[in-house]
Amino acid sequence: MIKVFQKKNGFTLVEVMVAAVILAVALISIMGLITDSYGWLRQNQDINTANTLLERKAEEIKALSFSDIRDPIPALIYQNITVTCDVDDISATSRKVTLSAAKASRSLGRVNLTVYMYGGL
Amino acid sequence: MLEHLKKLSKCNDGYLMAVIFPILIVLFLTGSLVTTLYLDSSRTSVTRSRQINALYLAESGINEAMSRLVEGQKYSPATDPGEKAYPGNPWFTTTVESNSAYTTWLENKSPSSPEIWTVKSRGDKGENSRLVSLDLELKQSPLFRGPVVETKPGQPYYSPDYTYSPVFMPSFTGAAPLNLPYESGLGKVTALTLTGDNTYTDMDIGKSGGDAGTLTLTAPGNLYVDGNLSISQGGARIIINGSGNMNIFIKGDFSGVTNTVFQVNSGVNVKVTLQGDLTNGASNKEMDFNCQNQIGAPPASSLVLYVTAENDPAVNPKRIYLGNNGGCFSGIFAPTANVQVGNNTDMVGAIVAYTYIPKPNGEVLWDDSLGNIFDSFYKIWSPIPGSFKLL
Repeated sequence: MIKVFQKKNGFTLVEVMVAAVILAVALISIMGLITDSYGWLRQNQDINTANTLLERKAEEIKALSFSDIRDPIPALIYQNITVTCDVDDISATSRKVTLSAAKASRSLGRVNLTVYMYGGL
Repeated sequence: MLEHLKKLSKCNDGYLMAVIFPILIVLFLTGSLVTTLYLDSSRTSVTRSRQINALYLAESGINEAMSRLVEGQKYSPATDPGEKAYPGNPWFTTTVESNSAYTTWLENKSPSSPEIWTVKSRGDKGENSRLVSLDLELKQSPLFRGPVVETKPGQPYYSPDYTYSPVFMPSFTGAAPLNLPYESGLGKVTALTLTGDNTYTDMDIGKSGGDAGTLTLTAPGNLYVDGNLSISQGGARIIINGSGNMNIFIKGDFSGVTNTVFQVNSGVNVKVTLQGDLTNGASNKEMDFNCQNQIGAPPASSLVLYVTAENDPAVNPKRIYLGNNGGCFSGIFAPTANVQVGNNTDMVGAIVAYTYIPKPNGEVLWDDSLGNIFDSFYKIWSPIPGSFKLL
């Protein structure tokens, strides 16, 4: 190996250029992958946070009395993630609650919960 | 040949490429690893999101099952439930939206405990599913003993454990509704006697301008009124005689005026199922309900007024008003109604009401013999604490 570095012969111009091009193409591709991965990582973090917020809001709604589960239910906002609630009457004794999590109009998840007037969880 | 290989090994041509390629391989592997990890993490997040949704869908199935049981809907146990199996005959499947649904079924916990059941529900969100279970006990409500039980939250008799069954109107069956001879009314024809099953539109007993009329219903039988039932002429009356059960279903309101009578003879049990309001006139207008047998055993259990509970009482309560100076011997089961007893009106029986509004000198008298008057409606399904499980 020492001998190699003691060689006086340089690389040819063609060799250097080909190597540079290959390296550049490879680096651009890999950097693109890593950049995309970073975006996915951020999105994963948002989805995980949204999941936690959705669970929290769903449990809050479950703790309400039936008569209090009606529009408008205040939204939950945390780290630019907003969890909104939409309540639709199915019948006089049941309602469908749809929880939607979004960040800058990008959907991060949704939970459907049906509640009833009598008992339940 | 050997000499040629020795020369080749000492040759510097292509050395740079030989260095570059391992670097590229390392970079590629690193990039692939990072990408794979992030992609996997992304899939995990999305899957968890769907599983959360599936869990709440499953809980929704438990809620709906509880609601159906409280309403007294019929059910049949799953034939081949298994621990996680999808039963062959689920009780119900509800689709919330595309690729979101829950399926629910009941399993008898043990043949030796016929009143202990397990309700299981599977929530499906796409290919993700969650299965939950809750043990239920069918037991007698300990709170149901008269005279007055209020179902309104915050009231003395209210308890989260206290629940009630709404009474739903049956479908009108048999012949098409008949119209009473409206021109003359019962007042002029003096009397109408009905036996068996009969269906009418609005009925007005004792129309003004005529003599007091009498509608006689002979038990057993059913009277369906696809409208309002009124006793609008003083002295007019409804008499139920015969023996056995008489069911009166009124789709609208039931009203009476001064000096009118709703009389239940001995040997008859009458259930009046009312979808509207009971308005017994204004001040000093009253109707006697079942008061003809005041001497002797309490007759209240022979007359029960059910007000159907399809309304939200917090928003739009039904109204039961017993006018002044009257009397009522009956059970009133109206958990979604405000029940008001007028001045000097005595009530013997039991009242289940959203809100009970007493007036001066009016009272509700309770007798232990009435203890079972609503029993069939007060076997309630109660969740067994700590039995909710994610299977």
